[in-house]
Amino acid sequence: MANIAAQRIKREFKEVIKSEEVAKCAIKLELVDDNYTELRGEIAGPPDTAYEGGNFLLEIKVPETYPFNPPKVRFMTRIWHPNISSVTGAICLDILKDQWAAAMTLRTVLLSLQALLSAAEPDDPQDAVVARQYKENLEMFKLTARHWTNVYAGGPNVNPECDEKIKRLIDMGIEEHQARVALSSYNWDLERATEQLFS
Amino acid sequence: MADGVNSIMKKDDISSKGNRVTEFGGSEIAQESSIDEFAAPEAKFECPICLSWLRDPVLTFCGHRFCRVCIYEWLEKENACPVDNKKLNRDKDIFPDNFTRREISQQRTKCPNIIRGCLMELSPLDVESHLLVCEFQCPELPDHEKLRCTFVNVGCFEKFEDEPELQRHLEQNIQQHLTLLSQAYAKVNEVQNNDSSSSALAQANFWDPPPKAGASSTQVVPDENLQNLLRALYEKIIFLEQKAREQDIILSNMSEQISSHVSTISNFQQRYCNGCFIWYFNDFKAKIKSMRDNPRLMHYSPGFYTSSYGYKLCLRINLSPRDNNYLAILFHVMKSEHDQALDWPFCGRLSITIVHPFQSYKNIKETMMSRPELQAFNRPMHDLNPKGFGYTEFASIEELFDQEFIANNQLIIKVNAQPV
Repeated sequence: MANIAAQRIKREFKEVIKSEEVAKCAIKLELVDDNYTELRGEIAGPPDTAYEGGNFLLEIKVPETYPFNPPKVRFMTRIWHPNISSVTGAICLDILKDQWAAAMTLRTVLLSLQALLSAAEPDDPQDAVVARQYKENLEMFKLTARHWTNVYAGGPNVNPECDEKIKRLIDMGIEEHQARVALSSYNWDLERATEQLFS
Repeated sequence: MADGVNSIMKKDDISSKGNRVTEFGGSEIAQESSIDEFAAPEAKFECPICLSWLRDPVLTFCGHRFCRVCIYEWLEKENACPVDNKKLNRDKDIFPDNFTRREISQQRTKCPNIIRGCLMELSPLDVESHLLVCEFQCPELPDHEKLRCTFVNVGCFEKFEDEPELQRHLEQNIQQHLTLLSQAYAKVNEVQNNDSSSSALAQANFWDPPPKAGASSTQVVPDENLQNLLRALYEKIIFLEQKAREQDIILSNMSEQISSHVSTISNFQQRYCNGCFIWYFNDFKAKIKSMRDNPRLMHYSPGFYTSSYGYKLCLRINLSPRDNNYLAILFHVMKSEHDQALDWPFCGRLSITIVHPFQSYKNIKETMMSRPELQAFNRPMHDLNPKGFGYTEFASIEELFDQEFIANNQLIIKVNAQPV
């Protein structure tokens, strides 16, 4: 790994560890390997959003050309968000692509992602299904996002109705996550989800 | 200019802080500030791209400083400032910043190995190249041999080459470690609360009478009762322990008193026996055996008095030196408090009786008159007159057994001493 990249990550790592966001448990950063090429990030779901109470793990890969190129970041925790793929966790955020600047750091990236959770950009979507729900039925979107936060990110809001519908599909032999995706995509309409699953 | 003054002020600040720390720790800590400066340069000397000291600094049109190499590499692919995104033309908008270059060149920082003894003072830019040749640099250890931060258990995963480095880390990261500790503490507390509340509840239920139908709202009360009960029991235990300790002391005092009384009483008995004393010679067989094994072994009776202010005498038993089948029984004169008021040498009648426990006609009795010419009757100079007077072959041991003088492994000897 290029010297400058490793050295910068080392310094950034220390900066994050000492930052007040870490003290407030809002963000977290851990090393995965010792040559500073891969890190594990964690952000807390912002308050007053559907993601409140959840903790979202991020995979951070630092390229050789860092900081001239942005780090590659992906959600490892499943999340229901217009700008994040519900399948792969890929993120659509300008600063991680063409708007990256060498003066940005891992700390600013983590904070930007946290900001993205509180302010989605449905017009520049990563996940078209989620974005459509967000635009057409915001309440349904919030319900779904809260449910996903509860199931995958340890959020506090249990939704027995969702759990019940998923259980119905599981009883029909559908795998749990597949059932959740289908129901989430069809606004928790059990009939249409079933139809789609068995068509 | 104002900037320069500011930086001097800051430096003073830092070093005074360092001094304050020195009061607690070693001298190394006083140097901390300079190492800190190396690790993270002041913002105005830091390149936003490599986050290190500005090397060959340049200034952009929009007023940001970068290392020359860093900004040109960035402008290879972008044409905007990495800080504020303003358009930058690599040929027109970048100027060498010689002011900053001079300021940095005047900075001196200490080698990070100062904690191991390197006293080099360097330009911050030269630290890296110095570290490659610094004799105090310790070799990179393989990962598993590195020292872990002492706070690894609460989530600080830093690793160090050696002790001083770890020390420095501990000094510098107090705040962070405290945060980790408080988080860990909160977690532990949570777990404990869950634990204790459930177990306390279970225990409370255990102590309680079975709940009456419909009265299920008193979940808190049993818990409180239990707490109170425990507290009361605990207080009682302490009270009782205290009491037991007091009693122990009283008891030991009393038994001491009793034993001293017992010894005075036996003294009295012997003092007021009027010359007639009975010696119960216990454990007879074992004593005979031990005397046979060791012919010099002798047994003395307690001292007794011929009258309350009279002579003090005692008996001695040993095996006859000529024939160890015979018992020797002798009188000894002992020193007493009233010797000066008595007539010396002792003059009187002495009798020794071996008492048969059942048939008194079998008693063996011998009576002797004192013989003033013998040393044995002189006033004793020590506790006991070393010369005795009596029979070296008083009775045959075999006969004592045959005639059943020994009952309960005990020989009874009665003496009578009457001064005239």
